[in-house]
Amino acid sequence: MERISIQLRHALQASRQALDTTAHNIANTDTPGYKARDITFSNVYYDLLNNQPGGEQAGENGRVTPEYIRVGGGSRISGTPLISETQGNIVETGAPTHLALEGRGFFKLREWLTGGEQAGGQAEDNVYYTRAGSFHWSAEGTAGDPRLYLVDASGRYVLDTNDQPVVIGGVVPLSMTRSILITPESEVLIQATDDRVYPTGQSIALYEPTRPDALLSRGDNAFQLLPGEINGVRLLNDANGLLTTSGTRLIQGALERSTVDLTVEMTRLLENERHIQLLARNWQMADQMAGLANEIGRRSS
Amino acid sequence: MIRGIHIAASGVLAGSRRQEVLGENMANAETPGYKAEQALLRGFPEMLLYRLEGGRSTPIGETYQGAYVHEAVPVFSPGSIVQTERELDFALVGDARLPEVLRAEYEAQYNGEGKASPPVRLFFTVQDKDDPERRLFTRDGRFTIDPDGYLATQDGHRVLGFTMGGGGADAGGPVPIQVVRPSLQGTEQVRYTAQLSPDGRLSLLRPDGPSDHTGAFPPEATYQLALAAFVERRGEAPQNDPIRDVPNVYWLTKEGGNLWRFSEDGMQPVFVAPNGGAGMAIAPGQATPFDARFDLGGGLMQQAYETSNVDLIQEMTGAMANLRYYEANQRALLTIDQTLSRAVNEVGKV
Repeated sequence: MERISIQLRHALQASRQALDTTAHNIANTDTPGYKARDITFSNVYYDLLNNQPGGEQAGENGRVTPEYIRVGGGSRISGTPLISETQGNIVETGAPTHLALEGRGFFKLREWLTGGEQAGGQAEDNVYYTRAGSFHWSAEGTAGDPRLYLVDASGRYVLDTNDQPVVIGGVVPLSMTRSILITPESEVLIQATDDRVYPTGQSIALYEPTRPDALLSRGDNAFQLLPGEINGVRLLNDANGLLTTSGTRLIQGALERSTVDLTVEMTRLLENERHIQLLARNWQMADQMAGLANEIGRRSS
Repeated sequence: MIRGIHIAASGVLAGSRRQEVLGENMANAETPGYKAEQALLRGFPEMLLYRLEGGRSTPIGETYQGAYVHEAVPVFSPGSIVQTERELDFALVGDARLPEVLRAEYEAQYNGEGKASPPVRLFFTVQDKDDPERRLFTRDGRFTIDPDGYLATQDGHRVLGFTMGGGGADAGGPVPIQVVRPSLQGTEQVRYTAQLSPDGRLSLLRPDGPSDHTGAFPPEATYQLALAAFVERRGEAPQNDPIRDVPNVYWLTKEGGNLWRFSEDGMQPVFVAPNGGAGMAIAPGQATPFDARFDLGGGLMQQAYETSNVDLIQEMTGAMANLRYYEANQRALLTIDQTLSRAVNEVGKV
């Protein structure tokens, strides 16, 4: 009876984790840039039981499988892969700091203005990657020399191809800036009050992780690379800082919607639920059998 | 009486063991590539009873010793195919196929016995990550990339394939498939896009380039996935069976992680390619690694995986029937015990 409890415990844990993942996806149906997570099951170790002293090989006496019987330990979750291949729908918002990505890649963010170690932390600790382009301006600098930095909702700075925060007010003073243009190739341009367009010399950097399992979700739409990840990320921008060869493009004034498909998630939810119900029913039966076994030991006068 | 207790107890144990097999199936109803098992009960061999009388022994019949779970036989029917958007989800659709000639030969030989050619099941071949010399097999095609950049299962066992070099498939045996490689400039690691064609050919395409990959950039590398074939045959193969040397699928035993181990020494797995590997010959003088007798039947699908073949209704009804079997044996045990109790406690009571 003990083995059936182990099987069911593993299986129920796995199914509950699957439910958690599905619930997490459903909760993020409206999160911009969100990529749905899938879940993969696997079976657990097998116990080899010698149920027949003297043994019997396959082929003897009509036996089909090799000697001994193998009893399993249930099921477990082998991975929760991020389905990063799916492209979310692009929705126009009109905000000039909102950026949607069409194609592969993640924006690179940094918590501190300058890179490098600070207060005992590691340089990589404050680097994040995100797909959600819901950025806004953060006013910094001094009164005489105001600057606007492009940041995400948590205040992390969006980086360019030189690992510097994207900032305006330097090349063209803010007083002369009418609007910001971000080209689909990721160049940042300023439209000045004199009706001329000036390049800032910055291009927003897009990075792609070399393997999908290398990203660790940190909340707030941000990911970090797994510590010790040797292959890391790859810059998608070419030598000129443009995205032309990567197949990805930036769309200003729009956001990428979540890739969660509610029909898929609800189907998965129902499947998980039914599976858990059947496992629980199986456990009830196993418990009944254990009760019957206990009765055997009861002394019958 | 004591024999009766042992017989009833054997039934109880058999019921318990069968419940574990059913429970394992139910637990893995959502495991990709899982094959359900059936617990087969068998009676212990009967013993002959003899009567000794006047120095002679006379057989008077047989006595039975109960039942036990003899073996747990997997069912290798294919599971359903689920489509996903994941690039590294591969599904094996269908079995390997014998060409017309061999099938006709089968029918001719076994004509009258009503036998058709047996199914030949296909598996992905992977390398054990703890023992690179050992090969394991799996139907679970939900692959990922391991930390060193190789195509691998979710647990990190690398998938094997034959490199399609200039001449054809590698004769040195299948190798792990490296998906993350240095870029052309050699300055950084690039993850190549894996494109699987239905005939098992895996092309690694450069990610930079025309988004529709219409051939402006040829594939960086191509592999023919190492697909191992196992014939599903119960019992011994007849001497003139044309595929006698192909390993039997029932000799595969399950390991954790959706893997199968091949447990028969001295037999090598047989690899299958489309059209028997025609056109994939390597350098002259070297044998092709593919078995010329088989063809890929259903082929493979990308962005899809195979679910388990567990039928929950079948498992549930089996579990309910097993519970009653267990209960019946338990009642028999209690009844025998009660009868024995009378014999012990009341017969001879003064």
